[in-house]
Amino acid sequence: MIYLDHAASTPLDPQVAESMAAVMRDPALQANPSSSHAPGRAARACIEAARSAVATLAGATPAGVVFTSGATEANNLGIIGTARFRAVRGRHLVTSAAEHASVREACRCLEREGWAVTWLECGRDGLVDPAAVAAAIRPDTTLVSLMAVNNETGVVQDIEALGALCRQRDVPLHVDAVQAAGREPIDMRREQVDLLSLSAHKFGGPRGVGALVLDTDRVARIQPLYHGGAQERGLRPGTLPTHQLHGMGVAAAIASARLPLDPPRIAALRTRLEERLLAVSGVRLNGHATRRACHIANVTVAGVEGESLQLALEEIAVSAGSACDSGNDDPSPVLMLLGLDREAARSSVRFSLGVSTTAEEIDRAAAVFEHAVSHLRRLAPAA
Amino acid sequence: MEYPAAVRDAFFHPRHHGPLAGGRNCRGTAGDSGAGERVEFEARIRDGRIDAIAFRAYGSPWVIAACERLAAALTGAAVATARACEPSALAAELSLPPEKRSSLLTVQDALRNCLVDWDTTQPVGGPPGRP
Repeated sequence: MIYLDHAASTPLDPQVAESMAAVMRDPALQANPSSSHAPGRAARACIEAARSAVATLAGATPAGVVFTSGATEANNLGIIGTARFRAVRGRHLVTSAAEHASVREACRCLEREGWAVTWLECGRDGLVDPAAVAAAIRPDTTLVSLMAVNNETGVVQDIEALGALCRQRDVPLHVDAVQAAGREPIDMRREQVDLLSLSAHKFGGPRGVGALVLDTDRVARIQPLYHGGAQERGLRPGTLPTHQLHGMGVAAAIASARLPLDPPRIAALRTRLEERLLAVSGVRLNGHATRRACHIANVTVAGVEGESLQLALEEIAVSAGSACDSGNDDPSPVLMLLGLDREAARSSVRFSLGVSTTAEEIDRAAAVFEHAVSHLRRLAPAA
Repeated sequence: MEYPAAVRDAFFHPRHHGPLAGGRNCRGTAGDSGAGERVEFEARIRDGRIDAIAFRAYGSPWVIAACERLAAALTGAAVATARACEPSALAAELSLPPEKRSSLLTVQDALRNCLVDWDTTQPVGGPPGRP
């Protein structure tokens, strides 16, 4: 099996797994990290080291890192928590219809509670026009939420431009940076991002842990979604999982250190893959040709039915869309925003590469793809 | 999605996919690839029996498997048998999920249209084997 679904989840980095196992076995790190005794303080120190590493990856200060169960929770906390906290100033949000489901549904939750939401369209290249964001901001806008890298197409938004205009209008900017972490440089302070969501298992860390990173100079408080504990300054109550957070911290440190090395290598492999895929007649690339993160290639295959394409590609672990949206037959709403019709959206495949991907795997995946398309087209009636 | 062995075999190793070689064969199509499925059957009929039948299909693995199994079952069968054929019986044979069973209507319509094409191209007085 060739694993090309790193956008859905990356394999746990072996070094991370080893260090997590060491933490789980270490008798000195078994206490509740909130306890004030020595074993509790030792566990706490382990977590604070992880917090620093995550802050470095995001270009933030450790005090701004709020650990969560993952990016879905981080997005919900960032959006709903900020909106509710700032409700006295207004009840209007700006986001894009191409966001991850956890952002879309958090905004829809607020709509049901009476907030107004402006759903921005993106162009056929997947880019959100900063001018459209500027036009959508109103005096009662309390948050703009846009993702750094689209999880289906890999399209990279101009976060620096968006940050500048949101700062100019004094509206907080939340960025879902899940697909950017470890693949694109992130610098919250330079990019003027106020809240940023991360997920450990998208950059070699364990599943089940993530973070909402706050610019502590700008966003003093958000309203917690849960209650009953003082952990994470009361913003995310619940006993902190020492080994999980340690794993996220180690993965973040590795991702930061390897940022100059891994993305260029992965980009070269993706180019190698795309050249083979796009050489097949009727195959076209989804999203902007160049403004894409290094790891994602999303293609539509004309004349081939989507479910059959998935089965024909079973030797490769790829995705028809977002893993978080799988389980239903509906075509990807993100691809339909790019102008694809339902059948074309269904006949689309996302290949996503990672640090463990090899050139041999890419060549084999391309050959499997070519054979699959040829097989299905041979079976299909003439148009 | 997990597929039964019968579906996987028909999908990866179809033995009755078209086109058929030679001659004027009857053809019938149904469905619309723009709506997700399109099926075509092509048959060579001699002396009231289906000498050879082949399919071409754009659709899910379930559609391809249903076409393959139907073509296999009807090869050598009397036209009357094909006319009376009820593809819904394939639902159990292939363990079709309920939400996929409507695809069998497309398969059935394509087969019916194929036999109608044969009917309309026969000499006046009717072909042998026609009820």
